Amino acid sequence: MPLKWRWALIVVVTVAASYLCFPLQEKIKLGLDLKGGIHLVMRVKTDDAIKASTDLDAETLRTELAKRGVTTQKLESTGVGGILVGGVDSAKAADFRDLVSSQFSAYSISAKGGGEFLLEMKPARVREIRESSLRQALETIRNRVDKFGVAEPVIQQVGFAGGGDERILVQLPGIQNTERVKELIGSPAYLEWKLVSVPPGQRVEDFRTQAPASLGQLQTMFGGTLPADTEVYPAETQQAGEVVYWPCKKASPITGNDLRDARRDVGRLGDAVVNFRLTADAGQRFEDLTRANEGQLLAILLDKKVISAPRINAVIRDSGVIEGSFTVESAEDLAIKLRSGALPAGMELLEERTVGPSLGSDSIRQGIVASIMGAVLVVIFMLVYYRLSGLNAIIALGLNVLLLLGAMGYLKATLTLPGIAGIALTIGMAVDANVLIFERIREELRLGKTVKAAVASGFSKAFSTIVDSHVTTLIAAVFLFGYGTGPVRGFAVTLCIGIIANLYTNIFVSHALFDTYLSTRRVDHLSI
Amino acid sequence: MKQFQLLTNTNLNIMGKKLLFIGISAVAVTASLFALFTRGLNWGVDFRGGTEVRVRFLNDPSVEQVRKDLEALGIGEVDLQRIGKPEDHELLIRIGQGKQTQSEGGLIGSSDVSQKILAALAAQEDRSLAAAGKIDLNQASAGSLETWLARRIEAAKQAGTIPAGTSVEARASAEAVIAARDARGGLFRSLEELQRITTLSPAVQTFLKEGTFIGQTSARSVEYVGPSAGRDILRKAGWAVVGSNVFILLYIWIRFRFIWGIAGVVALFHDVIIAMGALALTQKEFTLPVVAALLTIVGYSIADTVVVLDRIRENVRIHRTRDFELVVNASINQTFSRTILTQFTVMLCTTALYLYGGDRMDALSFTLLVGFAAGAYSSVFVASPILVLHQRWWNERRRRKA
Repeated sequence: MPLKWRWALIVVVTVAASYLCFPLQEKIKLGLDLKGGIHLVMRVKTDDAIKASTDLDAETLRTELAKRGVTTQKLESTGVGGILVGGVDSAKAADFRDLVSSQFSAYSISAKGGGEFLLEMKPARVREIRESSLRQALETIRNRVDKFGVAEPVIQQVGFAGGGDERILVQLPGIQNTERVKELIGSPAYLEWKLVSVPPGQRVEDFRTQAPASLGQLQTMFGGTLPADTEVYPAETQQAGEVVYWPCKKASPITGNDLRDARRDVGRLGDAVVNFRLTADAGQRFEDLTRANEGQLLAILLDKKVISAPRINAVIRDSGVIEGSFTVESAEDLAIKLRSGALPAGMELLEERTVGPSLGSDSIRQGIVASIMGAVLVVIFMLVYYRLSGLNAIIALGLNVLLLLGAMGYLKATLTLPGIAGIALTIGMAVDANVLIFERIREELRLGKTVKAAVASGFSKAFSTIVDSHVTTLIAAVFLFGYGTGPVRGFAVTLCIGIIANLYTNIFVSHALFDTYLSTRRVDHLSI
Repeated sequence: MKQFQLLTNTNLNIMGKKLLFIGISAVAVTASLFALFTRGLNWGVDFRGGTEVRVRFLNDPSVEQVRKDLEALGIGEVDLQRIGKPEDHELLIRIGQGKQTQSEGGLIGSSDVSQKILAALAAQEDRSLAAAGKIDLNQASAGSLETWLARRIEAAKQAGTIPAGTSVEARASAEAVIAARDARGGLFRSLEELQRITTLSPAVQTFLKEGTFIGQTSARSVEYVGPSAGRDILRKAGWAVVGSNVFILLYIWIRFRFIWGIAGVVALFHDVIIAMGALALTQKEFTLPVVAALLTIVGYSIADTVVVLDRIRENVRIHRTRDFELVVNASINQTFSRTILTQFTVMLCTTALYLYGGDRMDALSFTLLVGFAAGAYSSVFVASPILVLHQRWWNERRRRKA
């Protein structure tokens, strides 16, 4: 390529890189470890969703079988994806099989002998449920974070979905209040309204103020056994650590899915409450429910815990308030969660990192100082050792760093703490290829070649060595990228880009510099 | 002008002493393995799980007292370490994966533990001030400070001390205070420092002066890693090391010869083992970035070996008839200066990183430093002798067959 064109290309690349990386504060994205903020990795317990789906199917199966007059002695979900049916009448076994294969095609059926059958959810269906609950969890968390108001949050899936190890990464820059954030994005926020089963002989008004503090006490009130339609749910009282138990009906006529809106509001006594509005359909149901049960207690449950159990004083249609011992923050957060919908499954926290901004800015400062120190030492060494040719290497080095930053700006790559180390290393490695070439040129000069010939053969002979050594380094850097998450990946990115930029500056730019120098004047002795 | 030369035209008889060099390496590798097995690595929170809190103290803390306070909590094994510059008064507190209970309805995690830690470390007077409803300016987050200020402003407006209609920004004020705290390294030293924040309105200044205090401690970072995470990361790291070695071997096989690739990979393991041995010996924390450093050593050290291999191949083509051992020796000598020089420039940068990069970069840069040094040695003194020994064994076998 003629020299003119080579220079044109160099200028274009340089200008483009400068455009992409300046001003640095705007173009280079900082990682959480430098900027400060919260980093969470959570596992979605998709087994929960499968279990819920199995339970639901078991119920449907029970009613369908009853409709067809197939009697069973036992019908229970075995947890994740299995339904065990026992004591199927042998005369009706064919009917049973028919029903399962026609209406429960998501299950494979196997006979265990003695009229016992095991229905197992097919892997494809299991996978589908896992994937969809991950999607739903991502959507819900995204909604909640958006409503919470965080600038540039990261909410994404990590790894693969469908295998039971579905993970979500959440990064919230600039947020320090881990406790609140974890509560906000991690709790399922499944809201239910349930009628309270007041024990016989108790006055509603009395029971309301003194729900029993132990399960035994509650059972005595019911005369030994709870009614079949009743389950017990705990509630925390004003005193921390103290728990009371509420007997509630199993059915939840209204749930969080019926909400149209929820907002934080100020209650009658100036306390924080959450105001809700129901959809038209649910409003109708709520009206019927409250009309039929006026004077009764209606418990409001959040994630299977009673938050309050007010008395139904009037018919309520489509809006009302949730009272509880809320603070302004917790009422606001509950409203956000209710507006964003419930999570389809529980979450398990795998990793949490909170970095304060002061620590991050200390690290940035130290990293910059170290990189500049390294660069200055390398520059001094190259100038002392290679004289004028050292200057050539330094121009290449500067360009290398510029290209690295430009590429990071273009790829929207994140600069992390180890990434700064990657930049410092790139500075050290940038001159490696120059050293290879210069040493080769010196060798050629020692063999008595002219300056021009020595430079030409120096570059051509060093070429394959440089390519080989860069490719092997790149292999390791690519594996590093595949292995790492977050900060380590940031390191791998700077390293990979640095290596590629290195090839360009050393082989292309350095060569052009030499050729220009040699073509503009007669050089008898190369300063190298 | 005369060239500035070091180590040019060297004529060292390296191959003559190849057994000595391999012996030195064998000793270093054995010592490293010994250190790894006896002392073991100082696994960081990334791998062993648990909670790690970095706390800055206003006054120099007594490590023994802190240990006693934390052990009294009974939340797990306590490990304390001073960190950073002595005048920063910082401690790294690590709590092993102990009895961390599931918080109801929410996520298990560090904040329960870290809150307990911070509460336990607070001085007696801090605790009584907090109990009296005052806000600790050194622990408050922007959010909690904002909520608190908003309530004060609202109350003052209702009481008429702030005329209705004047806007006093709770959020902006809270953010200004936190920004000022960050600029001071995360810790206020006295309430007087608030007066230097010019953007705060007089009303807010009064609220802060009356309702806040300067706490003794501040958490600079909190990390929690669940029990299963570490195993996962190690498995992935293992695969990355094996995978990169396999591909490097393949590449060298294609470009050179299979046995040369083997020699290169042996040299790599040599470097990585020595770097890990140094980590075990110094008990520097083995963290995720350290694993990244080990992989970088793999990438960089092989590049150096490739430079030597390249020269050997070139010389073998030119001098087909000469003894392989002599050719290798000559190739090493011809590339000796560049091996030293390229390592030297990288070492300059790594040393700068080690000395000035700060304590968060300490283990990473230390690993690089040791690994690169081992890498420089192994490309010359390990990989090449292996080639020669293999060639000799090959010739021997051929002769015997003949």
